[in-house]
Amino acid sequence: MPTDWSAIYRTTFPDLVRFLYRKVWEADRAQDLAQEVFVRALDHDPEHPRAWLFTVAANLARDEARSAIRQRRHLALIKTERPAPLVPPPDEELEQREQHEAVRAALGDLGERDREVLLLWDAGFDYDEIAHQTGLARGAIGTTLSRARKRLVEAYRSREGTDAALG
Amino acid sequence: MPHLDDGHIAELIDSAGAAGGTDRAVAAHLRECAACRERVEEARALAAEARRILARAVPSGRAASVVPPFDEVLVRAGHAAPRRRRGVPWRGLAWAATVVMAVGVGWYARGELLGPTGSLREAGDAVAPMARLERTGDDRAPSSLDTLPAAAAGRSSVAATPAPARALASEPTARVDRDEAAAPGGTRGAVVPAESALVPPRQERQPAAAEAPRPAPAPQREERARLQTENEVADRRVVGLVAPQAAKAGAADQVAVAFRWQPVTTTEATRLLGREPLVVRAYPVLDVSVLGDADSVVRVRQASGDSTVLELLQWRDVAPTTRAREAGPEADRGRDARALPPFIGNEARATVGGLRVVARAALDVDSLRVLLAGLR
Repeated sequence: MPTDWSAIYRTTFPDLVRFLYRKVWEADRAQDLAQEVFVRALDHDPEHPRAWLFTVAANLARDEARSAIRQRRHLALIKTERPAPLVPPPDEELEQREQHEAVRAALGDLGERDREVLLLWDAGFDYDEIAHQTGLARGAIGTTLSRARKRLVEAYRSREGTDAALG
Repeated sequence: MPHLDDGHIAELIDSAGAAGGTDRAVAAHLRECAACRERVEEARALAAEARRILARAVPSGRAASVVPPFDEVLVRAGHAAPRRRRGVPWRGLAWAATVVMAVGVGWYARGELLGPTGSLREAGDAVAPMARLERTGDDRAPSSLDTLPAAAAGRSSVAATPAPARALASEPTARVDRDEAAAPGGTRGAVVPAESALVPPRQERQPAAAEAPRPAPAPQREERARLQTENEVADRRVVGLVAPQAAKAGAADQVAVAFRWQPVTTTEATRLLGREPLVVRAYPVLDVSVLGDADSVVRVRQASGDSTVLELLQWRDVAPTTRAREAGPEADRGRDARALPPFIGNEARATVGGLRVVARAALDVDSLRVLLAGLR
């Protein structure tokens, strides 16, 4: 029976965008990459669509991060002083941006493997699927996830405390 | 049973526990061990807090609230996949062919390429003016041009077409320019008899050859300039021909058809088709027109990015008649046998929502099929 990609797209796309957003931290880019993942899926027609989609998404995000690093290095060489925006962003937007930065920093405190397991767990994958995706032993997922959650919360709280002290 | 480790506790709170036996053992231990119960509660709170933190980092704006239509993915797949699969630059070739054809038509219209047309015919030389560009040394011109009559002739072989038909097929555009120059406001855009339209009387054409390169009289130049502008801006006057079956049946003098696209409103197109015209939703519509003959074909042109124009030719799908059904699938294919203006590029056909649809663009066939599959 052929895969109903339209239905998979409807149900998986938001999760995929969220997953990618926490890797590239740019909404439009995350959506664009998510569509690219589906484009490739149509070409490959994988047997296990959801797992395949997130694997390819992770790979695309990794490639994206590498190219971003290269681009940043390049830009650093030709960087010029950019004028500050004349109109400050509204409070709500500012707060949201700060929250995103806080989560991003907290996730950055995690090791790559812990972060990957945590994001897959948040995307709704069960332990077997996480093990399959990451290559970890099934029995190691619980321990890894437990550690990742703990570090995330600690790092986030620590940052909140620092901000409050500075505040 | 020893105390539960972090891994067991994590599995427990994530409801991803192992076999039932283990679950029973864990449950029994938890009933007896207050320390483990406390750790489970802590882990559960930690997991909930982790989820809350992650939930603060979701994309905002359009990316958060809108799932783009799946058609966008289909469209992207239609463009991207072929590039990965093949290295053949179809689009580049199509553009090259277009440029070569435009140059050829321009030369022909100026009367510099063609000598006495009658002598060409007498010699049985079916080489079209544009085909003469082969002699200019452009390697790609012959192969690109060779595809034009084939496409125009419903992909039949040019060599298999009788010589008169080949000659006609290879110079349709020039023919009409000449006719219009000779008789402005005459038969342009209408179905014209082959003798008058395709092979003008020799006595009318010999002076033109003798006087080349004389400039056209002012009214003719104006008319030509007007028509050229029309072509470039609105492509309202696409001229072509072809009906290979008719040509093979010896009816070559009956196959010439002057095509003319006439702009119509969407309402009018809807009336002709009996439903709204089919479009690729992600592409902006450039124009809607109808082929000016009784058997209406609606054309929707859409911009598909990268300067590529997608044509969707569509007409009502008519169920085969009883006789056609009895005659078998060969006769049923007659439903598709429409004489359509020539096109440089590829095409794919499908029946969608009661309409026969031909998608044509400078894309490969796989891409066109994907686009057809995504039509709404």
